[in-house]
Amino acid sequence: MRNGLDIPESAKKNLIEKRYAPFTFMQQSIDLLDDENWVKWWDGAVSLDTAVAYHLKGDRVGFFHQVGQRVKANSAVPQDVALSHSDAAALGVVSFADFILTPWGEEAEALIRFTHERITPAVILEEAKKISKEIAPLKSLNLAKLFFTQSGS
Amino acid sequence: MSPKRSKEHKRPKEHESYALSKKAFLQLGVVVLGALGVTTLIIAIAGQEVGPKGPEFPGEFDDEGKGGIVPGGEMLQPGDLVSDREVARIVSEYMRSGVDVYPEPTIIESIYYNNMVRNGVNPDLAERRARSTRIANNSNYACSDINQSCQYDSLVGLVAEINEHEFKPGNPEDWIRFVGLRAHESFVLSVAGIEDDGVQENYGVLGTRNIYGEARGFWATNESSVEIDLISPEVYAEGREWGKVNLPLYFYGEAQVRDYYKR
Repeated sequence: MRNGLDIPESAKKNLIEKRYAPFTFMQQSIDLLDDENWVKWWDGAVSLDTAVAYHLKGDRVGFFHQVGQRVKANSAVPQDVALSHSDAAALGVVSFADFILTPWGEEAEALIRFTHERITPAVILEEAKKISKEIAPLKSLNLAKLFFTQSGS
Repeated sequence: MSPKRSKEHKRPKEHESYALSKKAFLQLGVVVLGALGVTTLIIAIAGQEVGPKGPEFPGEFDDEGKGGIVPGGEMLQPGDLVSDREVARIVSEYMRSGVDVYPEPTIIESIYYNNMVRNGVNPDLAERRARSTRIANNSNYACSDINQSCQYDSLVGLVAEINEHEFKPGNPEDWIRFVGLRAHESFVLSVAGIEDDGVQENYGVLGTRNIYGEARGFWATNESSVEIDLISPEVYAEGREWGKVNLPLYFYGEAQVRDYYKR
């Protein structure tokens, strides 16, 4: 860890529980960043360091584009559809949302599909709709609490 | 959160026409010149009461301050910029000694500064931002809501404003939560600059997003929505709409906090 504070274990545990108790989903999602399998799969594409670099430059599209490129590179089947830059960014948006919104312990279905099927704009849109309709609302309570518990931006 | 004094006036008015005849144009010119004269007189009479007063806002040497928003609250007194390890030592000592959370300049400014520099912000800029921190109460805040801490573009550049509601007595362990909030904010502050003039982001099959307000990093003050929004989705809780949540911003803000908590 880069910034860690030397705080008593008991206090740390208590504070982590307090901070994340209303939104355990977010804590678990962040833990995914350290999961060995995911670290290898993403190869840095969604790491904090990568996000910070794009955030610093103000390049949100660039961030999602490289996420999409990584997803495409992980495909187990030949990807013969050349995605435009913006559609590759869309692929990144959908993949990122699937990664962090999929309930803990469940499979990230969009990512699995992207890995095993031809990725086309239509497939990206289909998965986006699915996440928007089926997955995101399930997490909304947690996110709402995060939104209003946190300092604003 | 956006500042309560928004920059709505900067938005293009898409459905209005301002075609004027020559006569009307001349009449308008007379009116405008007259108004300018009256305004100048008022300014001369009012003296210090009108316009931004640079010297009152330490840090006003930053060329990023284009927003024109007067910072809320009061300037935090300058503290020392120390390492994270020293921050940890101070926080631990306060908790052991039962010191309640208060606006401790060294802790606040050091967390902001250390994270911004680590994230790639120019050290001089990082120091100016850290040194421009405001402490607000419910009568002098510039955030959107009372009891709200936030970060916004202002006359002195990007500033963090901490609301006094965070300083509640009786729970010294809240120092760690307080540190976590500052670390989260450090991510929001970790941008090289602010784009005020509008940005367009193209996400292909998902649509195009137009940013009308200030854009900084993964965050935008105002942006057009798209049909399927997985960047800033609407959030519903208990059947009630709460608003939009910027997923990458909040996710990585929290990831930055994670580093503090885990070690």
